Amino acid sequence: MSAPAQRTRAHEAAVAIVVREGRASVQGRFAFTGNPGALSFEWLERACATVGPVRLESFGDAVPYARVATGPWVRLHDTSAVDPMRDSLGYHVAYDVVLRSGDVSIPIVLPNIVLTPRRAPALATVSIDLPQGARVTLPRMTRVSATRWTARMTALPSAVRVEMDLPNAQCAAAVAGDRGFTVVFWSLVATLVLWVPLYLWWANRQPDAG
Amino acid sequence: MTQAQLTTFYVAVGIYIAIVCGIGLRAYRKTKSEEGFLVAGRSLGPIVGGATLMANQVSAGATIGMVGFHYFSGISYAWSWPIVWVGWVVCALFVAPKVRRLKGVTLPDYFATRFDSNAARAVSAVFILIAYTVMLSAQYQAGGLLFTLVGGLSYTKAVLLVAGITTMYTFLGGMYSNAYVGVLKAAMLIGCYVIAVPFLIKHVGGIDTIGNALHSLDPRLTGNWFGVRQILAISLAIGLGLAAAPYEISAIYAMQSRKTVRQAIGYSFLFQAIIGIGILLFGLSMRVAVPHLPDPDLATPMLGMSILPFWIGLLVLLAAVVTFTRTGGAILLTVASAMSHDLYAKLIAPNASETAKVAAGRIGVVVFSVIPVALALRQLSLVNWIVIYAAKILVSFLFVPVVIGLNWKRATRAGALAAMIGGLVTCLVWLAQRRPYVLGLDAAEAGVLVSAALFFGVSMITKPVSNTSLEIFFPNHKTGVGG
Repeated sequence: MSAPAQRTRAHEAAVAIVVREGRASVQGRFAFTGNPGALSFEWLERACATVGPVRLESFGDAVPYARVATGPWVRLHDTSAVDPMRDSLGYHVAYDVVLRSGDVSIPIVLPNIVLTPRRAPALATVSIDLPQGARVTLPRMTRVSATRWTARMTALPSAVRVEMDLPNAQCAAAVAGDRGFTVVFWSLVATLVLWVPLYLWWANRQPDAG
Repeated sequence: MTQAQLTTFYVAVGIYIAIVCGIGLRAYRKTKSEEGFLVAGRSLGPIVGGATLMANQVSAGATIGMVGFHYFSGISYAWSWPIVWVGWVVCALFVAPKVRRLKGVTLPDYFATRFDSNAARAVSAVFILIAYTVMLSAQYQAGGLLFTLVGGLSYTKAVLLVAGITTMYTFLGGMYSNAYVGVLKAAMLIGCYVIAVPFLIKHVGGIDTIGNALHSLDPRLTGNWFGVRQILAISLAIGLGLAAAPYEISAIYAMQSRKTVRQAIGYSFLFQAIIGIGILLFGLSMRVAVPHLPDPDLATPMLGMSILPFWIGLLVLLAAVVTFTRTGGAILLTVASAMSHDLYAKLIAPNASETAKVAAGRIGVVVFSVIPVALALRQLSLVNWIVIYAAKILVSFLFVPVVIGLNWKRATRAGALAAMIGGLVTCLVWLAQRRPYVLGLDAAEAGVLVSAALFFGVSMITKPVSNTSLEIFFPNHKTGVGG
């Protein structure tokens, strides 16, 4: 198997989002049971949501990082010298997202690593405070009050999608697509779909005897 | 999941079990004979037959394992669908028409009749037991993972629950139950993907956005994570294995006519096309929506439990439950029939009554549900890898003696025995090397090549089988031998 090869045990992966007046303030807390060394964080850029400067802290100190964008993924590499003698590590991530649509995904800045829970099967928690009348459409979250939604999951989602009234919101720009993938995908669909009538045409022409 | 949602999930699973038991009990009254129990009285039409073929093929290896495969490897593995279907065309052309001439019940019936050999029956039955025990463990493992994540059960309890559900309806209904639960499975899977995929794609950002996000994560996700060589090797192992797969042969026996079989294969393509596209989009969307899952096999359970809205998610989870229990049932039925029909009724107690044979079949269902549980508890690998290993093992010993044996008169019993034993041993030796393409060959390819060489070589130097055995499969055969 492939996927992100690096994994580490964690005992906290919590993201809290507050949405007010077209702006989402996001706070993430990640506490690792061991010391995985300097980590990278990443987020997936979404249409109509602009992630502002990200503040990265560890044990109360600002963490310097290098920012690298690869397509719609933006990665922040911790460039500090993590003390290898530490037996645990924690990060605090904070940033604002400017929202320019009433139907929008709020990106979550995630550690670029597989987190496995130290005890409970569901490690990640996400909470969001929304304006009156707004709702979360993805992932599934439980409404605990008129404006607050929470979820506990096996792994953190890359975004929380919300629907809300956002007067004067203007957003026409979409994240650019990958035409190569689109062509491959529809070629595959066409191949599968064409198989059926071609085969049935052949099958119905066969004599039943023999 | 909230407690109320979890309760709803268990109630829905309970309703599914009740429906399955209802089908099973209704079928129970029909299954007074062995033919009724194992091949549904040869009563299946093209749509139920197509759903049965699809339901046999689309196992937990697909709805959980393949979603996990797409999650970690991207789009390339989806090209296995049309290549696997080549195996179905081989089946429609070279296997089904001839197999239908034999009013058999199991695949070993073919070996016994075509090669006039109880030894060939016994060897094929034992090898089928080995391969399908591995395949069944994948179904239990997938179910175990789902119930562990969703229901909060321990993995051991979850595997036992899945094994219990599967055993119960196979025990009660045999092929009748399997066929009609197959229709339920087709309806649930198609409904699940038709409803869930558009919702998921819209909210993840559309096909273009998924492609862009995946390409930036790793260009191989939108290109060739699995190269052409690897896709061909895996797909041909699965596809050619299907052409001679015991549970698909049993489904072919269970249909009304040869024309029904051909049409049913076409309907199964239609069902599989919808399901295959849905599985692909589930896996790719989940990689974008939740990029760091601890285990790719958790993609489907998490999608149903945490990502999609509750009612759509419930449908996804139930479709997965139906999938692994139903395919598990088909495999269990095949394994049990190898035990009861081929080993007990034909070799150990040839004079057994119909009642005794049906009882032996049901005991076989229970006994052979236990061994895969032990394997599933060990979690040998990702679910889809286990399915692929089992497919390679199957094709290595079945493809040549079934497909060529049905179409080449000169094949002999010694050739068939040598082909089965040589093919299986070679495949196992290749798999034990734990590295790909030893001597440039995949394990299945090596097994099939050795099997073919032994089949032709040994057949040419041994005594031909009797004309009586050949006349069933070669109606124009008069006297003498020849290709």
